[in-house]
Amino acid sequence: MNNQRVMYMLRDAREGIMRNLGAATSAALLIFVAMAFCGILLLVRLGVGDLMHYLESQVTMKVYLDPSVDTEAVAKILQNNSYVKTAEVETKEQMLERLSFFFTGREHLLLSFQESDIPDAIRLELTDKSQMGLFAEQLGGMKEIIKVVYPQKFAETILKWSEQINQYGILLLALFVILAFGMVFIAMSLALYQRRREIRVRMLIGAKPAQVRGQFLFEGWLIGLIGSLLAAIVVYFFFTGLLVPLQLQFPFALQFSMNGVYFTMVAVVVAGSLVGLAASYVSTRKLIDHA
Amino acid sequence: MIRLQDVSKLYGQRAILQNLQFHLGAGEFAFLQGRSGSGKSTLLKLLYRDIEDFSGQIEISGAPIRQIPKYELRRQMGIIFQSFELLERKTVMENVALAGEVMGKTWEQIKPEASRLLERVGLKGLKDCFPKQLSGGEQQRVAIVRALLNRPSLLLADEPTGNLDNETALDVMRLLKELHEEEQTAMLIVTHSDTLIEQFPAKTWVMENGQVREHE
Repeated sequence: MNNQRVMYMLRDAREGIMRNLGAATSAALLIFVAMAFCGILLLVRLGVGDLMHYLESQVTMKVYLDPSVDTEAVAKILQNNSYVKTAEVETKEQMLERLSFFFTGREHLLLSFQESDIPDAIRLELTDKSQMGLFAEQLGGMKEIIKVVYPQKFAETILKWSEQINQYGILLLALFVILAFGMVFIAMSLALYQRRREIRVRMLIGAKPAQVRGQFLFEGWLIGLIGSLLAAIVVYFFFTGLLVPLQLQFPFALQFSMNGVYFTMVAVVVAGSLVGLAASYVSTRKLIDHA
Repeated sequence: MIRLQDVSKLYGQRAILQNLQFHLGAGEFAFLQGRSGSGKSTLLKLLYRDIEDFSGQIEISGAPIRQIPKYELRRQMGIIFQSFELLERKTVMENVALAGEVMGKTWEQIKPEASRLLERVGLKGLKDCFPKQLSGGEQQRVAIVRALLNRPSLLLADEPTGNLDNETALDVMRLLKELHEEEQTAMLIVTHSDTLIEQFPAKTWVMENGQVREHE
């Protein structure tokens, strides 16, 4: 395909889109919204994967023992309980090391903890997290156990929200994609209606239905491409404007990479183009059927 | 070139064509004359398969047209319409080139032949104009060039002068006659005009009551 031919196709597509500018713009706009939303969700998901993992590890039970009790022995006993998946001893030093990143720049506060009399603890991961309350109550009744801390409500809440955002986000995304698909479908159906004379002339001079359809598929793809390119730009600015500063503030929780951003942008463009192409394909199906 | 055997076409209960027998040889020039509603356009539409529901047999170059893919059949012929059927948003050159494009030809292949034919019909200087900027006669010339671009073996013209004044109609007809002699393309011209037939003597088929007979 030479340059002249490409220019001709582009001019044809521009003419087609300009004839139907309102519908084409709405379609591109919906694809833009859907794909920007999709890209941001994907990007955030990629970046906070480690945070989720960290929070999941936090939904455990912590048992503080009387300093006179052999922590290792109790941990072994608890490990044999059917409710317990894992039982790990956490010494005061291990706990302070784990918390050290919270005290960056405020090391004097950490020192005060080191000097305090914090007992060893056993960190328990349960086989069934829904039984956590019941199991904690039983443990709390034992005289060797000073305190049972379960579960870290904050982590649990965050995880619950995260799951809901995932669920509703996917639903919302599906809704946007369906709307975008429908809008491209309408735009292309309108284009077919407005250009039925042109289609007829092309057919009468010997065009294959696939050739005529190709032009409309190209237009649908172009609408999708325009919408999704804008969405990819928004994803990029969302990353540089919001996520990068957040990552600088919370480096232990957020880990975004440039590769992830590029991957997301490419995925957005590919998905948006496919939505445009698919909607156009469906709307021109009748053209083939009646040709 | 074209052979119709026992071709009938009904619109509801009304028979537009009845057991029609018709023949047009290769390189032949013929008129198909008849009153409005006599079935002339229907016959033409059967030939380029715009109407597909008929009984009987139609052959083009010895092959039944039902067995030829529609686009393949139309590529063997050029079609000219009373209303020109040019695309308003395309220039004269682009309208002409459309016929080559659908055949998969490149612009380099299309341009020389399109330019030659446009020059031949006196439109060389108007190749960048849009149809609206042209007179009716000029538009019909563009349609003729488009129909002849791929050097078809058959040209079908449905009332090609129907929308033109007498003088322009004679000009267009003269051009078609000359092009027939130069290109050796078989031409079937549908018209209801006696004047044209008198001015350009040629084999004439007359349609009446769903039948066609050769004019004596």
